[in-house]
Amino acid sequence: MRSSLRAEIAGVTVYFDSIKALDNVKLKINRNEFVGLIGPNGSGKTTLLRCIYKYVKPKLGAIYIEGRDLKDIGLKELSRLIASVPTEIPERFNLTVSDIVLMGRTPFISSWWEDRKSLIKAEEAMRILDVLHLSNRKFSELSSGEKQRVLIAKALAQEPKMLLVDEPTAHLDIKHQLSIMELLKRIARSNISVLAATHDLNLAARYCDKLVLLKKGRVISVGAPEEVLSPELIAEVYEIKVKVRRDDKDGRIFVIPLSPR
Amino acid sequence: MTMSRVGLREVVQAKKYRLLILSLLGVAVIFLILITSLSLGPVNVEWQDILSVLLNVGSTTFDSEKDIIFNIRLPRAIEAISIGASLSIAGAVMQTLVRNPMADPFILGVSSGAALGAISVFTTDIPFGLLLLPICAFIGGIIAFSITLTLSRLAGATPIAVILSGIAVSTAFSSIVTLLLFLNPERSHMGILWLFGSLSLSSWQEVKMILPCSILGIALALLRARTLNVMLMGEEQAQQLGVNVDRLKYEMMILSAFLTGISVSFTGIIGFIGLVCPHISRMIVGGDHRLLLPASIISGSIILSLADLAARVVAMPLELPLGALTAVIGVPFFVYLLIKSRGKYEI
Repeated sequence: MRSSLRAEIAGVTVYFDSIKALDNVKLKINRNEFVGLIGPNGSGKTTLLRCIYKYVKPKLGAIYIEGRDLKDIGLKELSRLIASVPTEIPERFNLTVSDIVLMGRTPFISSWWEDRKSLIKAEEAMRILDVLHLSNRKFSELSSGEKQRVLIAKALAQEPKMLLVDEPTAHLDIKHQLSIMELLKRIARSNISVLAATHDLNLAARYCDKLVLLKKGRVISVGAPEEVLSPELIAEVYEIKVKVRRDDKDGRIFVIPLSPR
Repeated sequence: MTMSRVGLREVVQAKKYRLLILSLLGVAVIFLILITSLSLGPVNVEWQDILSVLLNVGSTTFDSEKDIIFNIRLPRAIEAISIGASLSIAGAVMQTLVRNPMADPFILGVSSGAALGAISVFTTDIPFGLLLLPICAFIGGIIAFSITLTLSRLAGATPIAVILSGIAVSTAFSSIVTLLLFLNPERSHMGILWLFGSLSLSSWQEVKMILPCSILGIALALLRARTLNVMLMGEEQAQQLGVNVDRLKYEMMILSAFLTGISVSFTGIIGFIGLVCPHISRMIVGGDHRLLLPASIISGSIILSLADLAARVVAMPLELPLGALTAVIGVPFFVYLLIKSRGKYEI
């Protein structure tokens, strides 16, 4: 049985020119965990995701995947372990849904056409995301919700053990926001650790096992949603006034924004 | 497309069939155009005579006809096909490389760079064979391409920055070419042919150089077809999918400059083939390079052959400049793309 990955981010610091984008970030992602990365714009969420798939190189610190230093893992091998769901992709090239999902098989094929196993795996991913019926449709003509599902299917076709998602609910209506988060949670439970950057505190509180609150590249708090989402911390990080309440039935907390500070 | 039960195997199978049909159809159409090009001109030759010359069984044809067909029109037709295909593939690869459907060897300045490379061999008296010409054209193309890409990166790498940088580089190199020609009036006739693009100097000697190079370049592009698809997802995603993005970019840059260089060094600047053909192909077969590249080969061959045929025949006995003809088709197309992209390009 394949198991999901655990990762450790050990004191990662990233500079863009002279600006510190990440500052001594320490974080553990456990197996099968659904971790939400929250924080205002420019707090380093995307940069942190990019460090984990080696698109950005930390100046200091290290990242360990299953105890192995990321520096020792080649891009090819990494692409078989970790998949990322981009916020958007270029759309002016007339690609179909199946074209895009099949790209998730890139790490596994060297032949001109996809092999049989790749077709089966990609089809599986498309069934899970309910996009198989869209196979021949142009990606650019889909709705935002469908696009997001196709991009997640692409990532699942990659057979990852960890999934990195950048703003999965941006541009989606509330029903699709909920169903995407529901889906990510299910993915996390099916042996794929999930790390998702999001702006939506309530969705994060509702679905994530653990939250990481970032501000200006620094980790302000890590823990269960009710620990991280205190009115004081939110006020400090987002510079707004909020109320935090608890749902009577499921005990989940929710955040009511009141006013900018 | 309501067949919701169709699986991916059927989808890929359908693609393979489409590729087969496309290839067969393409070869047939190219052959028809080839025969037509051989038959039309100041001297019209009957189809059956052409076949007999080609099949080398012609005792009925006159020797002069045979000479026209075999030594003038056939090498020219073959050059049109292979240069059309080369420019089209160069354009398709460039569009993917900069993820901008408005890119093309001419617009990105690569053609002008190649022209400068070729013309500087041509106007100086260094002893040159046919060999030095394409090599210098290639080097000129690479230099121009590098400048365009560097400029566009400095300008923020937006799609419009790529195009504007290309236009700047193209204009700069073209003016140097014009200057060189102006300073060498004894060679300006040949130079003018070059600037407008022309296949009128085609010969078997040229075909022997162009054809192998085109085939090599196009084959290398085809080998990378699936990886080029991944580049369409953006460099970040491509890298995340395990593609060595930098290596692929250099490979494709060299490849497209090579195909442009080989074309420009023998036929001068023929613009817009690399813009129009991949685009039409993409509309018909979609964005997957495994279909797009073969379709671009076919559409490039067909459109350049037809353009050259028109250049020869329309104002007979006068021959029209080929580059001007392709621009007549290409410029409105470019403008159409520009307008269609409204709002999608952040300037």
